[in-house]
Amino acid sequence: MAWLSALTGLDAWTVAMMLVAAGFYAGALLAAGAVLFRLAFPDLPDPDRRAASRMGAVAAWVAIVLALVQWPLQAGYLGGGNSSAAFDPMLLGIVFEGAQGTRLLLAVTGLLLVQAILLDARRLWGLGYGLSLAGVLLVMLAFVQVGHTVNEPRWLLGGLLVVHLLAAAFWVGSLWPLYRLAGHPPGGSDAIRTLERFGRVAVFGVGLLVLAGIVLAALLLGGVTPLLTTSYGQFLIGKLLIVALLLLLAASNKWRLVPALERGDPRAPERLRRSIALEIGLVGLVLLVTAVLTTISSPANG
Amino acid sequence: MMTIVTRNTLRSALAALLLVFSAPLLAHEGEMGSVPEDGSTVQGTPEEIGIHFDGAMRITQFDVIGPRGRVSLADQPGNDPTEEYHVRPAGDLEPGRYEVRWRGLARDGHMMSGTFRFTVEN
Repeated sequence: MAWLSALTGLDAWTVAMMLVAAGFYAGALLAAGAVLFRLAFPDLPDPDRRAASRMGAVAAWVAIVLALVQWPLQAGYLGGGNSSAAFDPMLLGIVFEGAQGTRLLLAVTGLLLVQAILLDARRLWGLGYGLSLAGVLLVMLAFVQVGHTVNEPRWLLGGLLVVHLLAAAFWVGSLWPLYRLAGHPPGGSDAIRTLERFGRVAVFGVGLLVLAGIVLAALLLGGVTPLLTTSYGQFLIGKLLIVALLLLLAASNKWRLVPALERGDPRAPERLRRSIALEIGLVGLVLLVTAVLTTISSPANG
Repeated sequence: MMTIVTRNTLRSALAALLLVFSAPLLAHEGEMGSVPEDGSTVQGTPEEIGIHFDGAMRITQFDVIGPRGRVSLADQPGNDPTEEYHVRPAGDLEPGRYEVRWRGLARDGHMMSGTFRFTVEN
């Protein structure tokens, strides 16, 4: 199996790069997602609104730190995977001058702007929303600087990736606030209204996420055969299987658990929270597989 | 009316999807070949050792490892973007198996690495 041989013989440096990449993805998506969640649900109860903002701000700082850690990690990799190469000014320069440097600058600037989510939007006439949305846009632009989406047709590939990431961010960023909301006293009308509305928005968002992802993968792989024969394709299948499991959970939440909560079923809040917690775990796994597939494989060379 | 519009949209979407699957895109720089060829056997010290890419690559590491460890190299190019990266062994290579390990940065920011092997005979 191509995926197995790609994983065996990995050095510690590459493993560190993959873990940091997965952490960066999680932080950046959570930060962007918190902004999108706040925008989609402006009338959240105060404590939940503040919790979502705090989550976004903390995630943004984590992503900033990890983006900065990626820089010496990449330089070290280019020098053969050792710590003396990691701080070699020439190698650090090569990384910074290239696409990775542009990505770093855009990501850090965007994630700093995302902090504006902490400003009270009610008092500052939308300044918080405006700045944090600009931050989200920069974070998305950061993602399209590196990797196969820089190839032609760049607008199409980059556009698809941005749509995919925005939808993913919204989903990922919603999980923790929804977990909190599900724990509200049974029959709490605010919580139920938000959960129900999330279910409606999510169908559209998840549809976009999957569609953009599939078209992007098809464009990059150029056929079905590489999906089966290359390690990139096989990791992608693994990612799709976990996403399918996530979709099953999300569907069960929307059509079974949220209606049960609405009916006042006393067991519903706990079951919904468990299900969302499981979703959070699966999202972590998806991001890890994504980091593996972007770090050690490519649609061009398997 | 709605049905016709929906059907047309569906047909266009399907056509677009088929088009997508039928037109592979050019992906980023990949290793195209090496000198000496991977797995080959050469008589005596090869004049040059190198790799060829189908796009510009900034090579940041290029080590030739032989029976006595790392081989010292002459004419080592810098790490400007290049499609051809070639070096010359500084001295004669003794018979044995050699492995070349390289790393580089592709234009799209991908960190690339690779190895190839060759054998030197008297």
